[in-house]
Amino acid sequence: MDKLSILAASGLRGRLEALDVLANNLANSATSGFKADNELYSTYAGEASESMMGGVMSALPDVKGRWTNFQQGTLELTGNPQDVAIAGQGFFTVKSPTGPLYSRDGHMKVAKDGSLTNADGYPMLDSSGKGITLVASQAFEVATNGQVRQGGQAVGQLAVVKFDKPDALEKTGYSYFKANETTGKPVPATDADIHQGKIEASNVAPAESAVRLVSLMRQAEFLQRAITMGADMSKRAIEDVGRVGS
Amino acid sequence: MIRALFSAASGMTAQQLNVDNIAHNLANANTAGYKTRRAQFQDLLYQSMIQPGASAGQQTSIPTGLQLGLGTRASSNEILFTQGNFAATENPMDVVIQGRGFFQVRTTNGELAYTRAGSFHTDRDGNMVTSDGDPLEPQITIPSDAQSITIAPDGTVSYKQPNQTASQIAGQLQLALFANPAGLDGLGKNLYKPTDASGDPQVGQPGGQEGIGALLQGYTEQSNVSVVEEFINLIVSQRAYEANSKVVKAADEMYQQVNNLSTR
Repeated sequence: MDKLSILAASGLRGRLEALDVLANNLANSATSGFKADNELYSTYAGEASESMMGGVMSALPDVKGRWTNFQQGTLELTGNPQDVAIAGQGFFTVKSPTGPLYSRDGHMKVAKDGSLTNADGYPMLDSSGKGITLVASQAFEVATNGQVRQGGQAVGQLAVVKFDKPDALEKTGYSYFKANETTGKPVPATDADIHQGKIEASNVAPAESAVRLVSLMRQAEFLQRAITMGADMSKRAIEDVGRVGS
Repeated sequence: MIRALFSAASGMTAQQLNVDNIAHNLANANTAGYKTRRAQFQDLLYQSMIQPGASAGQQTSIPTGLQLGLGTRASSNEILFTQGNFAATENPMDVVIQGRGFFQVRTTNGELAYTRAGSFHTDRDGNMVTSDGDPLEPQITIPSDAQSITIAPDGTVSYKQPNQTASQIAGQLQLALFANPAGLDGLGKNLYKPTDASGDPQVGQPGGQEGIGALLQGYTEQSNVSVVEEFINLIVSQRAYEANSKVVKAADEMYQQVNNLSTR
């Protein structure tokens, strides 16, 4: 294949992957605590492409990764004392069967035995890595520093943590993030405020997404035309060469 | 490509469910004791094309990886048990709970159910019943000739009989408290049933245990649906649906372009 077609085809593939990312963002515009993803392009220059193309147009655009936009979502007032939201950087820590998971989704529940869990029933961890147990039938308050109080007495401290490299956090679905070697160890987030009775809305910006959608479509159209153009040129070259030969 | 289509479709399904929920809330805006339901969403699984932190060479590692999400799903629609407004009715058999408790009623199948709707009546035997005729638990009987029925903040129901000065006590209303009321199972007709998630009911006297709430006679608790909020949610939901449908259209068009490549 000619250089133009290869380049354009790889660009087109990139746009299709970008559309996948955008579709997921828009689908989650109502997911509390959701953080929008953006794709990361890089130019790929492999050995094969260099020998094939002679180094002139050796760099192919490629979707190489994604970065998560950790910008603060709007805090929505729900009036439910079991809802908490984080203003600032940080994540709630929950204990899942597969290890600790981190989330910005602050829908909490009080289990039958009085333990404070998230919406999926995973215990909300306190700063010492243990669960928080409440007197089940009593109301509780969460202070801005994350301290959980019942009847004026402190019963626990919600673990709100942040990471060195939050961009490397792995999204595991159901509003969770998972740490790995690259993210670094979780450290207490000291500058984050906890708000009770509020929920952080998804930070997907609809207007921006709409613009991106249109530009992706136009770019794909343009690249498709480029591929067609490349194919037409090859076709003409083959036909013309054929005519000269006869 | 197919991912984008399915993600967008999942978004549309979720918003449809959200609108169903809003419609149900608005339909019950005037139902005494009704509690708003709010749909909640979670993102679906992610497909890891490049694992975050994978090594890109001997020296470098990919900081973020490439994960493509597969859309959204509705995770629950929980009941919001915030206090509704009180409306004065002048009816001595209307009571509201100023707290988190529930009235206990015995339904026709003999099981206990719980309600916040405190509009009571008496049946032909003089038993205090809900507007559906389900008797309160414990049962309270008021004679047919009773006058000036009083329900005290602690649930004591008393009345006076003609030509008597002293008032008689008919019984005491009891309230139940749940650890996690959001986990109650709605049976319709304003009734709720306990589940494993809600915890077992803890029965107590009105005004006794902390948070259970004292009673107030002559008022009904209106639904806690905020019509303004529901309408705003409706608009947001409609727009989100629209955005997702645009993605379907865009995905379709881009797919078509790819198809056209091969047919040229």
